[in-house]
Amino acid sequence: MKFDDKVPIYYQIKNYLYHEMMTGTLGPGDKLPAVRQLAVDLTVNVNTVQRALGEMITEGTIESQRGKGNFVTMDTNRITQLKEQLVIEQLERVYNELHALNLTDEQILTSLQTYIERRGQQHD
Amino acid sequence: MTSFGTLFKVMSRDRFRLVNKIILAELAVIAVTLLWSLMTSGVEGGEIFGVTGAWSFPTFWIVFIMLSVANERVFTRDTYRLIPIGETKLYTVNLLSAFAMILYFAVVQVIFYLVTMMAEKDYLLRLFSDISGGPDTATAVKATLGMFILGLSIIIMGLTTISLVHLTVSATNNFLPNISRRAVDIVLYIIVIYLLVRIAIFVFNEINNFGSLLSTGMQTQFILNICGVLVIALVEAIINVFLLKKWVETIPN
Amino acid sequence: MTNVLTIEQLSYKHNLKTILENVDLTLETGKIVGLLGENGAGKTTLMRLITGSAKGSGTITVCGDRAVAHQKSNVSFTEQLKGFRANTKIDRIVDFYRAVYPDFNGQRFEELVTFLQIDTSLRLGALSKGMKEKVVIALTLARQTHLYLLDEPFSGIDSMSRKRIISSIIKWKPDDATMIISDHYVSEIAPILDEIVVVKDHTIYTHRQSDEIREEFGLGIEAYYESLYEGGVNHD
Repeated sequence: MKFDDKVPIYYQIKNYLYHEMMTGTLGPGDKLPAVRQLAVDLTVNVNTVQRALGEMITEGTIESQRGKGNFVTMDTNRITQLKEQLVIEQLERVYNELHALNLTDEQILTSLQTYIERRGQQHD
Repeated sequence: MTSFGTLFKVMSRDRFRLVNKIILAELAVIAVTLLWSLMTSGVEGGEIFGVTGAWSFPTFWIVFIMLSVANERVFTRDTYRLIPIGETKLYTVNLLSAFAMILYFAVVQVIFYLVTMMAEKDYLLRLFSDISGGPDTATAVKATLGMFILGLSIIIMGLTTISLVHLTVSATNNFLPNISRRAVDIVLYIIVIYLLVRIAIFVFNEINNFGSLLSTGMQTQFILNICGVLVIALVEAIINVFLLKKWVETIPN
Repeated sequence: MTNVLTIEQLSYKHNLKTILENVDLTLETGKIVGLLGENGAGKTTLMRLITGSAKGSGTITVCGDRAVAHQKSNVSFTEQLKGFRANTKIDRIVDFYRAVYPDFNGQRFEELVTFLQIDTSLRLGALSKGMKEKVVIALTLARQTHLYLLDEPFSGIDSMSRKRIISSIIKWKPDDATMIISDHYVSEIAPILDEIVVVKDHTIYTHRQSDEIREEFGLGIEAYYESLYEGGVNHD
């Protein structure tokens, strides 16, 4: 995986794991790879992986079981919540960017609509 | 921490191999020389012993030079200086290993002499009996042993002196500007040459006095000389360890 | 957290030229630290001072110990093949290591050899630059100690070897050991660095956490590092 050097690595690791959870690569209750293995897979520092996992444990998206490793939470509500949160984050980014281009809310809505329609046509 | 014995073994392994290679080369040269004589004038009585003895001397110098090069490399290479052992131990192991290898070489040479002597026993015995009024066996053994010990002491001092010069150059090179470095090098070369001349004169005198060694009155003087040589070696070794601890750096890549 | 390395008021001159002056540096255990700086800034010198290969003034404490021999047993440095002749076989160098370093772990070394695809039957002189660096890395990491000093392990190495070496660093660095990696080409190792130390103007110019730089300045490590030379970023 390629990292953006401008963004804190632990944050990118979290996003990577969220992504895995959203796409279902990591289902509820699935065991995460060992910390060092994750570090090797992602070519990052073990400490940074630990920090990312620590934050995820605190927010409840993964659970740590002593001596067994880390597992994706079984709490599906928490995962749905996470998904909402991620969607909002993305939307917020797009909204802010477009807003910065002096688009009104109406204009943003219509341009998004046209964009989605056009993409749909391209895919046909 | 690395132990004294382990390091001694590791350091001596390569040097042992080196000395053996040189001894093999020596044997080859001796064989070629004898073969040459055989084809030209024929091998005369005592020649096998003579040729072996004659080649022994230059071979010794090659061994001494090669071993002191190996000895000095240790002080300026990270390969050795990074080994977890104190500087005093490192220095002592290094010196002992070089000395042990020279001793090994000397023993091998003595064996060569004995073997070649045996081969030409008849001729040599006749030669000895011709020399009348020579010293009795006991005195001869004592004299040989004395010269052997003196030789070994001088070899130790040789090794410590070479280290002293090398380490001084290495230490001064680190903190003097480039121009004065050259001046220091020149001064040191002069000191080295002076020391070599002094040692040569000393050895020459000892050999000259070899005869008087046989008379009991000179024995104390002889033993004092050996002690003197060893004391100089010890002082040099102490200075060397000090230089190693304080100033001598390894060569960076 | 305990400190693996404490340097106080370290100064070093070579041929009357000041290389380092009044260096103070403290490193915690368990970190990977990038030692950055231009060529000739004194990165290698700093490492050599830590190992005792170079002699400066000031105090250096490794794992709470100031005795030279103990310090050496706590440090594994990548500069160690100069004492071997070009015709020496790698196997023989490994034997030397095994004998001389009590903390040399043969099993770790075998794993590293397999991972880095090293042929130990080759002679030192026959190795390519990349292969030589891999051998050095394998030997350095096979020791199990507290402080690893990797001096420019990536210079002149193809990107595949570089990736392998980086992976082997992540895999084999003991959790309680700290590793200092010097480099003047930052971007490739940036993701694995906990913190960076920049050597500039004869001293430690900056010592910061990598993620702190990203958060505080919104800059990549490389961009931040370059900005130090342009005076673009305010630092303390």
